Amino acid sequence: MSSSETILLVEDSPDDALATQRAFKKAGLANPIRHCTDGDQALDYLFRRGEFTDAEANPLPGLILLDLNLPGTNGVEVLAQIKQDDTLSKIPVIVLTTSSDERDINDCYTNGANSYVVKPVDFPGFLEAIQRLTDFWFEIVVLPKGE
Amino acid sequence: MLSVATLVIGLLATVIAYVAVQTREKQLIETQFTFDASQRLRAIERNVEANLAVLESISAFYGSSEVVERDEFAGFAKAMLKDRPTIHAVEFAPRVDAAGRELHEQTTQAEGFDGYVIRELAEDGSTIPAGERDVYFPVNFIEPMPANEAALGLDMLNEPTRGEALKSAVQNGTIVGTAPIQLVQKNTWAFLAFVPVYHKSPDPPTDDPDATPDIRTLADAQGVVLCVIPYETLVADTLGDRMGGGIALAITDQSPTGDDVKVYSAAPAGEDTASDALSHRSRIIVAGRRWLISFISTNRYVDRHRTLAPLGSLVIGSLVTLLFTGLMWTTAGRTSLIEAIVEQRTHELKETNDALEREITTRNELESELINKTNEFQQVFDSAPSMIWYKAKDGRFLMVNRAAANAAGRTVREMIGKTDHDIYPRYADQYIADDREVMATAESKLGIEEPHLVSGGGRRWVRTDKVPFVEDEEVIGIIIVASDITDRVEAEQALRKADERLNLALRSSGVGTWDRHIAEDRIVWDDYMPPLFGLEPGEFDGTQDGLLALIHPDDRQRAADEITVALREDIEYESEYRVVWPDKSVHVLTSRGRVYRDGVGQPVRMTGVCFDVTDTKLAEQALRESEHRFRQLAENISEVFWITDAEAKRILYISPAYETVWGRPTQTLYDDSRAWIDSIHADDRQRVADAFKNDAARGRYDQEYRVVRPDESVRWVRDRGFPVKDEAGQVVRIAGIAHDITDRKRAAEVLAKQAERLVQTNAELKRSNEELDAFAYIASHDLKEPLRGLSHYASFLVEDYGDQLEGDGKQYIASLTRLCNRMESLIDSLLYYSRVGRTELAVEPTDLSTTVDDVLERVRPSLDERGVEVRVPRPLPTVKCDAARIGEVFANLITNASKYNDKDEKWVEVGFKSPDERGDLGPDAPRLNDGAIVFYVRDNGVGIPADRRDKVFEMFRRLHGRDKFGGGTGAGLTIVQKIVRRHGGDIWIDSTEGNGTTFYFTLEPA
Repeated sequence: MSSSETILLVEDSPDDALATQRAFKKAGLANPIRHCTDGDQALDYLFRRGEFTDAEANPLPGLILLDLNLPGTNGVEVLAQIKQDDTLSKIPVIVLTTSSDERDINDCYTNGANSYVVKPVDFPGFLEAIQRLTDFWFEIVVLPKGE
Repeated sequence: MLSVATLVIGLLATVIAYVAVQTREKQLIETQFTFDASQRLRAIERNVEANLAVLESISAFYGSSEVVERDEFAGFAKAMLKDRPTIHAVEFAPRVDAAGRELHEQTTQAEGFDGYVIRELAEDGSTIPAGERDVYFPVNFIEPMPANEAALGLDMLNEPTRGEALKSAVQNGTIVGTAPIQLVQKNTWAFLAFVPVYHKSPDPPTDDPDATPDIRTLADAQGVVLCVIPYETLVADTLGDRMGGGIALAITDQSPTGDDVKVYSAAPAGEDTASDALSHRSRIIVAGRRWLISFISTNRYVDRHRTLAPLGSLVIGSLVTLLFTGLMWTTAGRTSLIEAIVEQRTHELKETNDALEREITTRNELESELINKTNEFQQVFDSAPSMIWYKAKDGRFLMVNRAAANAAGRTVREMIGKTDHDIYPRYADQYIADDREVMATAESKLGIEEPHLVSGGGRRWVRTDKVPFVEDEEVIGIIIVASDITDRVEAEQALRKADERLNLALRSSGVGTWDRHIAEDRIVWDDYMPPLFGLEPGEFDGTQDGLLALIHPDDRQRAADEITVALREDIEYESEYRVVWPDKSVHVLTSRGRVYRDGVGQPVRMTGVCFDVTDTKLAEQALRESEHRFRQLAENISEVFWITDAEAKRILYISPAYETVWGRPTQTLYDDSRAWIDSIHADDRQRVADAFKNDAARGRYDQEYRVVRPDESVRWVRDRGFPVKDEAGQVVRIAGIAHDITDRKRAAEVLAKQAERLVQTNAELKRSNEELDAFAYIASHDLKEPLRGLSHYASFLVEDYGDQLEGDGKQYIASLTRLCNRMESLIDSLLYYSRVGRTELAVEPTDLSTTVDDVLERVRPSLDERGVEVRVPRPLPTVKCDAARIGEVFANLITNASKYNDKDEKWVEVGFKSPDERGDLGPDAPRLNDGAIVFYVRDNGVGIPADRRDKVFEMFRRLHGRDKFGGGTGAGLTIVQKIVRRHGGDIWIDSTEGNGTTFYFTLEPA
């Protein structure tokens, strides 16, 4: 995955979104980040519906960071729809959430999540988690080619 | 002249001989006929007697039973009628008076004879419901019933023919037959024979003081037993195959009034009676009726018995005379006319020769005819079914018929000239002895019943008639006729055996009879009396004093008085007294009898029966005691004990507790058993009535229902019933118990309400727990998010503006971060706690040694750091648990134990106690399941003060300062407790402050 590919961040908490973006920056990632604040918006973006019909302006992301606790369509449902679509299912989805509940973890892996990360409360811990993720997904993993 | 005289004398002699032989033959045939007729007559007489004996037996059967039921009658009568085809039916007609008619008819209808009414004969011979009479004797029991239904209900008294015989039978106590009647059931002549059945103790005939004691009135009769005998059946049954035999038979009933009725007349098929036929008439008395029985021979009879002897003697006599005369003639002629006839001699001789030749030819022809006739005679002789022998005086057989030869397994020819010794060696001596007697006395010996061996047929019984054959007043031989009577003899033997059995039964029934002759003061006992008194036959002296001496002293005077009273007051004698046997044992006897008086009312004799009632008395006493005990029990228990009849139509007993429970007097129930069902609550009534009807007789009736008392209060009752059966398995009673279960019912209702409330409370509690768990989960997540923000912004602040902050500012931000971290661990603990409550346990047999090894490996660094020694004295067992959760329990307890310790040598011991080695588990130990295994984690740490022991399991409760002993969230033990409890176990602590702590918890074995 190249540094030009878009990262889609689905996060309703502006504080967490801020922290995430800050962490990416700190980790030295230059990829453009698109931020959706709820599940329905994220699905509209990914399926190019509503305000996101312009393919040029709204490129498909190379990585999706998905919070589970979303208003409206929740994270697990968003994940399920992504993984049921032939094209979208190839995009790695990293679930980034507060819950360390086993049921939530199981639900996510069952629905095809590629990683599951519990957000640490302290920022240094958060930063480290993001760093490791990006190391893994951007440096190590070879992903199937997009269109 | 001489030859003429010879011829005349010879022919005369021949004619005389012919007449003599013919007369002799006629006499023989007449004798034979009389003999045949007598045989038939005897057979009829015997058969009638045998059949009437059936009536006697049934009458005796009535005499020995208190009440004879329809079934008993049918069974007994059926047995008696076996092999008695002569009797068309046996019936019982009870005496029914006008007042009892309706009940009688209803009772019989209830026995399954719908529409039964007493009937009488109409003029046209049909039956109609009987008019009103004072008394009836309707036929009520009939055996066999099929084909005789028409007689059911027919009144025997009010039809003159039957009524006359019935009255006579009752008055005289004997069997009395009716005049011939046309049967209702069958269009033929028959007669009925009645025998009375009296009441057991007939009332003294007070209404008729002039009646002698022997004359009974209709009122004395309980009923009559009667049988129906058709004359035709009687004859057919008696004579059977012998019916014909060339003899016609007629029976005429001769009424004393002179009205003769020919009730039976029959001749053998195709045979006529000639005008000069032989006849024989006899009168016999049958059940008080006079019968004239006529026998008339048919032509065939005479033909069959006629022989060729007279003709033979005539022919042969004439021939001999002619020959002799011819010879005389020739001889005389030669003497006087010798020369004159010389020339003619050859011619005459020739003529004589020719005549002789002719005569010889004629004689030969006659002889061959004679032989033919003799063969014919032998054929007739042979066709007789009886065995016939004609023996010479020396015992040799001169003639034998085929029946006799066949029976001996020989031919007729073989037997001629032989003797009894040759043919019948087994019984020859006996036969010959009889023969000699007959020949010696010249008198017939008839009806000898003797055994006779038949070739291939074994031993048969024959009835033999021996008739001397007399010629010129001299016995020259003997004629023997024997017929097979094996069937009859065997029947008689069977009858004799039955008699013996009856006798035996009488003897074993122990009924003795006595006869007291008043004038002579003499008491005569039969053989069955002495054993009743424990005496040998002959030991009793036959006096009144002797009798009283045998009676128990306490009863003696009374017994004597009772005899005196019976003699004086003309009442039925009945006395019950004890007797003392020679062996000192005491027995109770009942003696019953009646007194016979002379014309002026003086007692002459007193006769009666006596029997031992000791057993009955003992049984009665036992029954009384048993009943007494039952009543005592039934009347004192609080349960209601009840008994009804088999149909539950009538209450036979209800214990007094009924009045308490039902609030009604028991009498109302005795008066009307429906009072019970009416007392049941309307909502329960139908159910209980149905259950009782369906289940009571099967022993399954068990119902709880409400009873409404007269004061409207309601009681709950449990009522059970079961059938009481007799020996034959018939339900005779239904008994049951009802008891008041109101208190129990009310308690049960309260309990049910409480249980319902408990279920509700449980459900609420469960819901509230679930809500709490869900709340904890959601709250934890939602709490974390702002916390994370807080922490992040603190970091951003330091990163972006750290250089602008003073020393205190930096310190505050560090504290902010630390507090956030602490808050996070609290929330995580809460989250984990809620998860322990929510998630399913993965329970399976787990080797805890392995689990604890894993745990120790995981916490080893912190143990080593603190210098704690962990001891596991013996391998831990395998239990059923969720391995991961129990691992957390051990981890938590071991960590805790290692943490709170200030000793120099710190140790933690992990072990268990099986159910049989529990010992002292501390003051807080709860009650344990029998199989539970107790695990413990013990340390030599700081210990927990007694007043705080119950606080250690509270959420976030810390007993020590936050930073003392390494800190913690204070949720660990709460989670441990929750895990153990979710496994169904208990957890508790035993500890002394400063001296270590032991955590105990239990798990179920695998």
